[in-house]
Amino acid sequence: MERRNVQQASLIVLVMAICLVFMIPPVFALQRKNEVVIAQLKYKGLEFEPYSTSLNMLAQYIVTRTSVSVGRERKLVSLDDKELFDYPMIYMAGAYDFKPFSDTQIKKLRAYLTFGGTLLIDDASGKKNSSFDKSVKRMLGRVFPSKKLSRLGDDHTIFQTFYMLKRIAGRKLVSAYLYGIDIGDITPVIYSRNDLGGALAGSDFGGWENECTPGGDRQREMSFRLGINIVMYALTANYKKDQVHIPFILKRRK
Amino acid sequence: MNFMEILKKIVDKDISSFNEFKFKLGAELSPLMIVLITAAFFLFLYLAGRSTKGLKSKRRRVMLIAFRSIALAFILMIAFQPKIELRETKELKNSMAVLFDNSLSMSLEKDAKKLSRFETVKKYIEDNDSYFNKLEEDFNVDYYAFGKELKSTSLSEFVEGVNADQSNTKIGEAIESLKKENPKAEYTDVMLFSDGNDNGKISGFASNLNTALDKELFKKYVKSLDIKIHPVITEGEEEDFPDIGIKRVVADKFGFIRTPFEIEVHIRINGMKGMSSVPVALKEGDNIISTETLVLESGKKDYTVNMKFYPQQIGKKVYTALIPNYSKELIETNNRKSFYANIIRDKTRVLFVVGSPTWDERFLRRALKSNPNIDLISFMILRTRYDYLNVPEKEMSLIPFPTREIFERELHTFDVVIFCNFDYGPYVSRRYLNNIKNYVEKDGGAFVMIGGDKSFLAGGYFNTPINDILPVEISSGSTLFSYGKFNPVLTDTGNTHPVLRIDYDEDMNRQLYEALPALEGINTVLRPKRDAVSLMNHPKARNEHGAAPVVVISEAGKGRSMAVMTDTLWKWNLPYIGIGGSPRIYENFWHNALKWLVKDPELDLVKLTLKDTNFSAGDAMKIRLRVLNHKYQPTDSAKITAEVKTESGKAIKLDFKKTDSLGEYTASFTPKEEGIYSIEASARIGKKSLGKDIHPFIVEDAQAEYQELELNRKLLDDIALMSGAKSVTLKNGGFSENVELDTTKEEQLLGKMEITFWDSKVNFVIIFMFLMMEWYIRRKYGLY
Repeated sequence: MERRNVQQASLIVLVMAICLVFMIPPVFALQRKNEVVIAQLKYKGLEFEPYSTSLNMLAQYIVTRTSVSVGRERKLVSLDDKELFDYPMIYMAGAYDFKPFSDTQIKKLRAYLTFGGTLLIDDASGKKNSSFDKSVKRMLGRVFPSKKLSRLGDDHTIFQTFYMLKRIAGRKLVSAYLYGIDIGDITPVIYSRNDLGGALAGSDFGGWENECTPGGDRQREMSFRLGINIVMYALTANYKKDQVHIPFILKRRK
Repeated sequence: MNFMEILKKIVDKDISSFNEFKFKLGAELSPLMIVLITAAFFLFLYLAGRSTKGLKSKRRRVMLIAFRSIALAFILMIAFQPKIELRETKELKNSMAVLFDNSLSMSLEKDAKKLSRFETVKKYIEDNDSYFNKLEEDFNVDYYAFGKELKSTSLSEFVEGVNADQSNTKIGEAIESLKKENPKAEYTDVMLFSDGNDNGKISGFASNLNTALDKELFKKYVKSLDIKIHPVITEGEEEDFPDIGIKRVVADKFGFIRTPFEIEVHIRINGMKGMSSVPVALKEGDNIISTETLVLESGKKDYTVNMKFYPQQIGKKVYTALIPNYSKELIETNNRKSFYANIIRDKTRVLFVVGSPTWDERFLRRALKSNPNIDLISFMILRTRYDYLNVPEKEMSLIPFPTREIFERELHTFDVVIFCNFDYGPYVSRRYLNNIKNYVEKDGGAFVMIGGDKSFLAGGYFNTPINDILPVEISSGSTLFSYGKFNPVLTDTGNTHPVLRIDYDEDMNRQLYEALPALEGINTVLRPKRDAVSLMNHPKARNEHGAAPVVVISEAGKGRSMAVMTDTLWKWNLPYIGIGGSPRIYENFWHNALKWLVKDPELDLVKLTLKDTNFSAGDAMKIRLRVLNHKYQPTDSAKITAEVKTESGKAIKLDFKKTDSLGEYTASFTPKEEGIYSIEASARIGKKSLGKDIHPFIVEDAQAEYQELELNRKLLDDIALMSGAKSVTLKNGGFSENVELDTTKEEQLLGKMEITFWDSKVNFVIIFMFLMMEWYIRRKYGLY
């Protein structure tokens, strides 16, 4: 009997505790931290997410190597989503051509990039002049008709936001350069042709999904460094061009 | 017998009062008509001559031509209507003014046995009655004494009752006043007895002749006086006055905080034998802020000392340049010279310390960088000691966080320090936190803490010096950080406060904030501190002290502080654009917040204004006060407390009265002696203070008069030349040369009369008679 009473009392306490938890206003409910989340852009094409683990792996490396708290959850957004502007950095990957965006989508993307959003485009085909590359150029030509996709110079902040990078990397070294579109002194569109995501993608068995050729693991390490630098650039813009950094940067460039 | 006497006999009117005559034509004929009529006269005459060719008798021919000529002459006279204009005229004397400088510099004397400049003038007047008598014969002469003001006098009154005691020499203003004093006189000349030590408008022009334009402006001013100025440079018997004096200080009216402020101190040294150098100091209040040593050169009198200092506080300031008093000096009051400068910010210098890069940091940095008035220095912690370190330093772009340099040496150079989600523990020692506290409380700096999981209590700030300057109380027992979306609610104060003001309409302002996307996550704090003001609260979260604050501001000693209990204000930027908004509200929030934090005068509720910054003792000055209420609207229901403080610390109450303009009050004050004064005015509505404003000003009188002791010949020569005259020197009882006054006299017309002859009936009879006689003779001798 006593044992039953104890069980009943325990049950009541448990129910009350559960109720109490639900009664607490959401503001005091401990949830996740305000993490930086990089969303993957969803679009109409054959494959908008060539590697589902790339961003997760990059986030993991950022968290372990830097002070930035990056969310590791998978987040997909399309240009039609209301949430798009809640994610100041989006990642667009693909290996094939894709259906042209509607005028509304183009307009929205233009506003997003003009007012502070960053778009990282990654050609996962590993080929020069791929159909994805052509679709990207067509799309960017509509977003910024008066601006040109151009090579990012060696002195671009992106190569010094965290690591000092002398060359770019990816799964394959299709191009020796990153490309981008500038608005003022900011580059909100960054374009890699070397399948950066392919180098970062992890396999289900704890290894890597792809080989990095020709540089192997060193090339993969440099790919992660480039990925970290790009995210740092989206977060800090030209911070590393501030006067206080210049003597250090110049010294390390030697 | 002259023509006038003949005329008197002919004319049956009394023309004895007329002294001039003039022949004139009454008919208004054009030159062409005159030529045509004259030509017609000679043509008729010629025809008359020709028509008499048939006559053999020469006598008869001459007679006929004479008859025709006489008739034609009379016709011509009627056509031209000649007349004699008789004029009664009188020669007029020009008017001139004689101005005697009775300023203090005219009384200078090193040796009581020798005549001062002023005594030299008086002696000349006493000894030269004849000169002034002759002057009065040739001109209408008015006498004036002048210094600060122009005063009418007579020669005897001047000699007996006027002293050289005026505290200024304002030559330009005195001449300008002549027209007001005696507008009918229309003076053509001014004889100016002066030493040229002007400290009015003229010296203002003359002391700044760096460019051709400056010279042109000076010339234009003298010309605008529209009178010939004949300076009589008045030398005393002793002119070698031993003195070191600051003639003037050239300084800008505005300076920038922590930016070099350069001034020129112009020093005149005369008769100080045996001296090799002079120390020059610059003071703000009782503090010496700069010093220089002036090395003297043999035979050189005028020196310019360049000084530089770094203003450390914004506001209206009075600085004083000074040199020591020496026993040999004749005058000591010219050993200091004060000047006014308004120290402002050229740029707001912001130190932005970020615990880890986030979107909040990203958009705040973007907003601050976009403002050209902000000089942003950022430091971000990109890697912590807990992060993976297996990469050589040279392959990374990281730099050490120069905490010592920033928080010990350079802290005072910033206007605002922002800690954005920054936990100080691993990087900043408690000593540096204390420096920040002193920087805010004692030096008037500003501090902002932005929320996040490394801020406030979560950043370990409880019981630290930072805790003392924060506008919120943080308690060791409360939750560190809570997540969840919320739309903050503007408090009544917040809705009208400049930090949150987007629209002057209160309802509209509130609606604009309500339309913003929700924020996410809040640092839980105990409550706003006692004197702090919460501008925005959480809509639901509360504790026993009330609603959870989101944005709180407060005064902190001499400085100000602000707490933002969330790291998601950036949602007002890009996410708001996503729903059709603009970044304006976000950017305005931060720009207004910085303005409030640095006490930008634009946001002051109480503001004093003066017409000038330098005044003369005895002159009434008008002081204006503009008062806004807490809603930043002009108010006339404020209670004003104001006083003027003298240099010695004496306080004199000021009585401000409302004006017709809403929010404007005025008071007047008459300083009695020279020195540096300061007006302090504060306003309140009910028990709530609206703040206060302080405005210093300078009263300098005798000091101005003794800036230069020597005669200023050049100035007087220049004025004379520009006005079209020449200066002379009064020395040893006489003028160096004659004063060339304008003796051309004007003629005044008192009356006139016209005498005409052409309109007499006799003329027509004569014409008729002669023509008839000619006709008769012609008929008689068979001419047609």
